[in-house]
Amino acid sequence: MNVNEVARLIKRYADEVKIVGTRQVFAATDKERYIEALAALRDNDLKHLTTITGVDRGDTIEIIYHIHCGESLLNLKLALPKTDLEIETVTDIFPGAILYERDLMEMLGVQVRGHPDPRRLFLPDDWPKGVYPLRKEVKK
Amino acid sequence: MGLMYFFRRKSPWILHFNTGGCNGCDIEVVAALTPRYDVERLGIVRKGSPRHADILLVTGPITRQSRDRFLRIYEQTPEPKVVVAVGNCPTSNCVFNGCYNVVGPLDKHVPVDVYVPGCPPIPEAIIDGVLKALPRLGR
Amino acid sequence: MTFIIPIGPQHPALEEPTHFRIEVKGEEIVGVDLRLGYVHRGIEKALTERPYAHGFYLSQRVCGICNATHSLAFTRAVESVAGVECPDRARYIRVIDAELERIHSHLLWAGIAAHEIGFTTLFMLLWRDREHALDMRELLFGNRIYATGTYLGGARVDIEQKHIPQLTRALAELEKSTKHYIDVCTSDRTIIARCTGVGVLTKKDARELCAVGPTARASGVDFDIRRDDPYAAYDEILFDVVTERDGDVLAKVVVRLREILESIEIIRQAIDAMPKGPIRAKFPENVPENEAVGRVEAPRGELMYYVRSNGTNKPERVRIRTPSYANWPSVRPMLVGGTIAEIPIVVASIDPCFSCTDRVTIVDAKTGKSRIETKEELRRLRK
Repeated sequence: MNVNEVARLIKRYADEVKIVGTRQVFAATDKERYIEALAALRDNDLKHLTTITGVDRGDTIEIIYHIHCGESLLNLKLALPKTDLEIETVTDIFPGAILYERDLMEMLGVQVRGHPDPRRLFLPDDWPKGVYPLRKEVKK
Repeated sequence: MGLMYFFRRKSPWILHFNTGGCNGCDIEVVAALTPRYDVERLGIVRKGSPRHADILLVTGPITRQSRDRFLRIYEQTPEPKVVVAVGNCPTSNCVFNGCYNVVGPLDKHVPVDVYVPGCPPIPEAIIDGVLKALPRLGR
Repeated sequence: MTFIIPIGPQHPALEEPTHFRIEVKGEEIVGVDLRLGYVHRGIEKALTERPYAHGFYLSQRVCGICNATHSLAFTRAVESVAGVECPDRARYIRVIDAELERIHSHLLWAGIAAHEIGFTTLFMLLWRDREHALDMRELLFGNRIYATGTYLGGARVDIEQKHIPQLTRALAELEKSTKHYIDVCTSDRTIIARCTGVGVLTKKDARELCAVGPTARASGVDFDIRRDDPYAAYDEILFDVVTERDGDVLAKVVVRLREILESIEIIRQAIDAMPKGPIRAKFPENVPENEAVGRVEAPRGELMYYVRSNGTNKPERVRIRTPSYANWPSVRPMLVGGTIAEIPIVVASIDPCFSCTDRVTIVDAKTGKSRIETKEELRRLRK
């Protein structure tokens, strides 16, 4: 799928659809629609979730789903306020997301509801609880 | 002691342990086994168990999670043992200095006998480091 | 009754010394569990605490084997954040750099695979020929392992004309021996018996679990970033994306060896087509606020960097997704249903890295008693 087709497809589920260069689409969705959006992508045979990125933006945490769409890459953003860091798991849509969501939980403290295996992935066994290394407030 | 030292010096057995390194040194350690460098001609044999080893080759900065495992392996290695720090990471943390999960360098945790600097050191340097470590086995 | 077999974490050869807990029923594997994190150094955080020029060197040291592609992916993301265009000659230097690395990485992996099935002669031969690729890296870029040709805004060093004949000779040598190894791997009885039908990853599983690189291509997934999202000079070079259908270990071996031949062709084309000119554009110290994704095809598959800048000389966030990380979920369907003796070769087949001295502890789940076995002993268990 090229960028225009991807942009057309995602427009129903997201705002601020922005085409960057010839190969990338950035779009912002919200908590009501992101599951629908990802399911719609899967139903269009876009099954490769490249990764999930979490970015600490101060008051919010931005979660970006990077989906490989053949010729292009879709970056679907979801902003969460730090007071309400809970999302639904997407492992039933993209089974390959299982490690990325574990990563998100331990590095940024986002709660993923319904995750089949919410254990620690990278951090050592004696890592203090409630400290999320990729948060901005964590300094050396 | 004299006879055992003679044998150990003629054919030291090596255990290689990665404490969180990037793999660059590890592949150079393995490259030292292969035809161009071929350390087995010098009697140096690589082993899988710390209980068989005389020399511990350590690569990588020490990460929090691997520290305890490394200390256990260090204790399992019988005396006399020699520790060789391969690469810049166990020597000085290299580029990983200041990372939250790195608790190195190696000499903070165990005594180190030989340092082989380089990122990564070439196989010749690693072999030379091991040979320099041999007299320390007779302590 | 099932037993749990923990493997690792003293697994010096794995890229991430990983801890596996493998549940077995008799000889058959029924479950796989994974604990990563022994090599977790916190690079994503560290990259945000360093200026771009320093981060460039740190990004290489994510992985010692695919360091050129790591620096290339970081550079690609940072250059699109900063809006810097790389000069034409540098784009070709980057291709030569990345493909030399692919050759040495695939030969390294094939050697390890040979070692895992107890074929040490082939391991030694493959590693002997790998030295040709390393020699070329040393000749062109100055070091055996950490020798990247890429730099922020262009290339780090220029390729001198006087080195080209030597490079061509080494490529001819590598081509001859790789063709021989493809013959060996598809006709030798030992290899066929140990690799056919072992560790099968179906196309459906490969797509659902988002496998990347040769692991996915061996299962028939036609996916290669060099073609799908071209970078450096790949859009001006002709090459085939190698795929196989079977998805077993043999298919993964063949895909990688055939990719070496493709890489050799790519380097030859790049040498011929390389234009003259400057090799580096100026890279600004402070980068305006922006975000970008840079993807490249590392030897092990799709490698992704996400960079967000904030107007200073340090990035605000860098996300790295390495190919081995993406391939871990695929290990489960490959192992389940197989036997204990297949563990080393199947785990190695996704190319987590090379392996030598890992040990396995067999714990009796009922009595809790354990015994330690080295991989040598495990190898003897195989029929």
